[in-house]
Amino acid sequence: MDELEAIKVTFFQECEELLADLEGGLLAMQDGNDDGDTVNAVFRAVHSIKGGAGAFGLEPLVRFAHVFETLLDALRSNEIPGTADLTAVLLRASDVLADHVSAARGLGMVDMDASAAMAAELKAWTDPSAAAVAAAPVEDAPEFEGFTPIVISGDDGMDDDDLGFDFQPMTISLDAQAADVAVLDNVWTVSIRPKSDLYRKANETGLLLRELARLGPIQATLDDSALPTLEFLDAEAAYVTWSVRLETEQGEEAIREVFEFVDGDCELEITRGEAPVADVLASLMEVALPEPAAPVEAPIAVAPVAEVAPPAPVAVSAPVPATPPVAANAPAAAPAAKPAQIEVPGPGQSVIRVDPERIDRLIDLVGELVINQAMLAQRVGEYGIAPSSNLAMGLDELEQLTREIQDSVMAIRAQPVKSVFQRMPRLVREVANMTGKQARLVMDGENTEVDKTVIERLADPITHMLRNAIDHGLESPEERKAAGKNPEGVVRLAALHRSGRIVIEVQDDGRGINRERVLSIAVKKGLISPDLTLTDEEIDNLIFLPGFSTADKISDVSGRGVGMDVVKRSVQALGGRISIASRPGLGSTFTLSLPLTLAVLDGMVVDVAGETLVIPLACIVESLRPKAEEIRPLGPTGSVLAVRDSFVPLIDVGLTLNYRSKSPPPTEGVVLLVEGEDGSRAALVADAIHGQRQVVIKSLEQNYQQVEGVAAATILGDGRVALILDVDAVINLRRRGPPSPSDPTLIAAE
Amino acid sequence: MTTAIALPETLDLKASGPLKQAFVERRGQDIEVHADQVRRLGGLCLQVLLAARKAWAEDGKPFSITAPSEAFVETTRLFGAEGALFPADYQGAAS
Repeated sequence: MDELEAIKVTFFQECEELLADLEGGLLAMQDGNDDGDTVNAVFRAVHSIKGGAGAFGLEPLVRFAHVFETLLDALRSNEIPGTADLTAVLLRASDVLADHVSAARGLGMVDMDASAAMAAELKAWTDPSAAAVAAAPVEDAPEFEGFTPIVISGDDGMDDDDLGFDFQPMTISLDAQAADVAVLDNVWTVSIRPKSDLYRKANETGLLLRELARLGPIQATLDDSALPTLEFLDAEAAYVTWSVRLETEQGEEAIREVFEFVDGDCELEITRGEAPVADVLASLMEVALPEPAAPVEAPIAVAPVAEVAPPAPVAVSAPVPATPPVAANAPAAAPAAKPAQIEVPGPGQSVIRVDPERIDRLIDLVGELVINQAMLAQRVGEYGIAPSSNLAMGLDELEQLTREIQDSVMAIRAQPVKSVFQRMPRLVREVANMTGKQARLVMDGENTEVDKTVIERLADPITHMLRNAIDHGLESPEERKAAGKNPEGVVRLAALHRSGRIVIEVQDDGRGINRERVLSIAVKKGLISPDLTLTDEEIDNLIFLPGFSTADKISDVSGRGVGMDVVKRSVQALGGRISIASRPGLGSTFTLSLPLTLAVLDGMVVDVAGETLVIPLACIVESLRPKAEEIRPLGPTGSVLAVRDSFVPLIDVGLTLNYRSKSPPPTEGVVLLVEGEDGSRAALVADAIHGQRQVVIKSLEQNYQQVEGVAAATILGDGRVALILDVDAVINLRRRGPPSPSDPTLIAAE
Repeated sequence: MTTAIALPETLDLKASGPLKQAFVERRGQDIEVHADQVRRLGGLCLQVLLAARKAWAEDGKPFSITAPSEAFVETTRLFGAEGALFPADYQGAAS
C-alpha cells in the first residue's frame, strides 16, 4: 500500500505546520492582536487537524479537536469575548492538541485525564452549564454521540468491521422526503461539483458526502449527464456532480466547513430548502459559463441519457477540438455540449518532498566531487601546465561549476530554524508553570536558515538554555516586583547569521549570575583552587564545568547537575561554542555559535612546522608579513604585533598545537590576523600560505577523537589529511597559557 | 461469451485509469464485475463504472455487478449511484 500511509505521513507533516500556526496565532492574540483574521486562522488550523484526523479515524484527536474548535468558533463569531484568560486556556489546549497529534503519530502518550479535564474546561467556556459534566471523560460526553470519525480502510489488512458501518445511518427512503416537507427549515440542498483537481489532490467526493452525513441525514442525487462515453472518458477528470439533500440543525457555515479542504477544487452551492436538481444545476451553469451571450441554443436537452438539462462536461483534459463524436446512437449529445470549463491537468504541486537520505547521499557525493576536483587541480599544477592553457581554464570552469553545485545542494538542505523555535513557546509555558515564574518568550530570526543536520541538533541545547534561563535566570514575580521590574520576565530567543556561522542567543532579564555564589560553589566542590583570582567572565564560565549545579534543591526543571556542561559538550561536538555574558540584576545572555553547515568550508591552507593546516576563511581578517619593528615582547614568552593603531597578541600555531617547542622568529613566517567569535583579535603565525581552498569537513570526533584547538579534518587534493583549526580555541589556549595537568584549576577541568 | 473483472480493494485515483482500460478491452462481451473485494470506492472509479454501465447498455450486452461488498454497496448509496449501477431487483433486496 502504502499510499494511505504516505498520505498519513503528509497529514502529520501538515499537522506540525498547523500546530505551529495555531500556536503562533494564539500567541499573537495573547499580545493583543486578536483581530478577526488571527482568530479565523487559529480556527482553521484546529479545524484542518480535525478534518484530517477524521479521515484517518484518529478518534481521540478528533474528539478533542472538536471541543476545541467549538470554542474557537464561538470566539470568532463573537459569542464569547476574547480575554487574556481565555487565550491562556486556548494555549494550554493547543498543547494538549499537540499531544494528541503526537500520540496519534505513535510518539508518546496523551494523559487522557488531563485531556478530558481540558476538554471540560473548554466546554465550560462555550456552555457554562456543561461545566457540570466536567468530571466526565470526554468520551462519555453525550454531545459526541454520532460524531463518529470515518475510517478509511486501505488494503492494509484492517478489519472489515472498520468499514462503513460506523457511520451515521442516512435516510435514503424517498418516502421519507415527503414527510420532511413540513420541516423545510432544516433542509438544505448542497450542490457539489468537483473539479479534476479535487481528485488529483487525493481528495474524495465520497469523503465530503460522509462529512455532510455527519451533520444530518443526507440523500445524494448524482448527475452523470456530463459523463462522456467510456472510450472518451478521461479516467482522472471529474464529470459527475451531485445534489445533496441534507437535513440538519446546523447552519450554512457548518456545511461550508465540510468543503474547506477542497476550497477552489470544488464548486459549491448551498441553498436552504429543497431544490429541484435541474434548478441547482442550471444555476451552476450560469456560474460556470463565462459568456452568457454565447449561443446556448445547442440542443443539449436531446441527449438521450439526460434526465435533466445536462451541463457541459465539467472537465476536459484534452483540447476542445478533440471532443470526440459520440457513439452513433447519441449523435447530438457530445458535440453540442459546450465545455463549461476546460481543465488542463496541472504540472502537479509545486512542492516536492524528498527522502532526506537521498539528499545526504547527494551531499556526500558532492563532497567527494570537491575533493576529486582539488586532486585534479593539484596534479595539473604538478605538471607545470600554464594557467592560460585550455586545460587549466577548463579546470577553473570545473571548479566554478563544482562550487555552484555545492551551493545549490546545500541550499536544498537549508531550513529555517523555525522548526526548532516553534517548540519553544510551549516549553517556556510549562517551565514557567512548574517554577511559578511568569515568563514571556520573544523570538527573533526564526527564518534564519541553517543546514538541516545542524537544526536537528540545536533543539537540545536551546531547550536546556531556555529552561536554565527561566529556572535560574528569572526571579519569582514577587522578587521582580520588589526589584522594580515587571513581574513577567522576558526571555529572548534569537537566531542570526554572523560571519559564516549561526548564532543562537538566549537572553533573560533576570537577576544575572550570582558570581559570589558560583565561585563559592566551585571552590566547595573542588572544581577550582580557592586562591585563584578569576575575572568576572571566568567566573561566569564556571557554570559550564562538569558537575556544577547552583540549585540548592534539585528541581524538576533543571539543576540535576548535568546542566550546562552537557550543553557545552554537545555544542562543541557540532564544532560550535557557547559563551555567557551576565550583568547582575539585569540578566544573562547565552550565546551559542555553530557552523552553518557541517559539510564544507572555505579555508586558507597554511604550513606550520611541516604540517598542513586549514584556517576557516570566515575568521581571517587579513594576512601580512610582520616587520621586526612591529613586534613587541610582552611578558616572559609572549609578544604582540602592532597592527595599525592596536596591538594584537601573536600566537605561534605550531607552539600552541605542540608541533614544536620553540617559535622561529615571526618575521620569517606569515601572520594571519583572525577574529574570534567574541570579536577578539589575534595574529596567528604560520610558516607559509598555500592559498584559499574549499574543503570538505570530516569529523575528527567521529573518526578519531576531539583534539583541542582543532575543529575538524579534511582531505586535501593530494590525498593527505589536514586539520582544520578552531581559531577561538587556539586564542583561548594561548590566553590560558600552556596546560598543566597537575593543576586542578579551571584549566584542567575544561 | 462472458468475461469478468475483479475490482481491487481500493478504487481510487490510481485505479481509475486501469479500470477504464479493463472495461474498454472487454467491450462487446457480456461482463460480470466482481465487487466482493472492494473496500474503498472513489468518485473517479465510480465515473468509470457509470460510463461502463452505459456503454454496455448501449451495446445491449449484460452487465452485472456480483457479490458487492458491503463497503461497495454503502458507498454506492452514499454517492446516490445505486440506481445507475445496480439492477432494480438488487436494490430492492439490499434496502
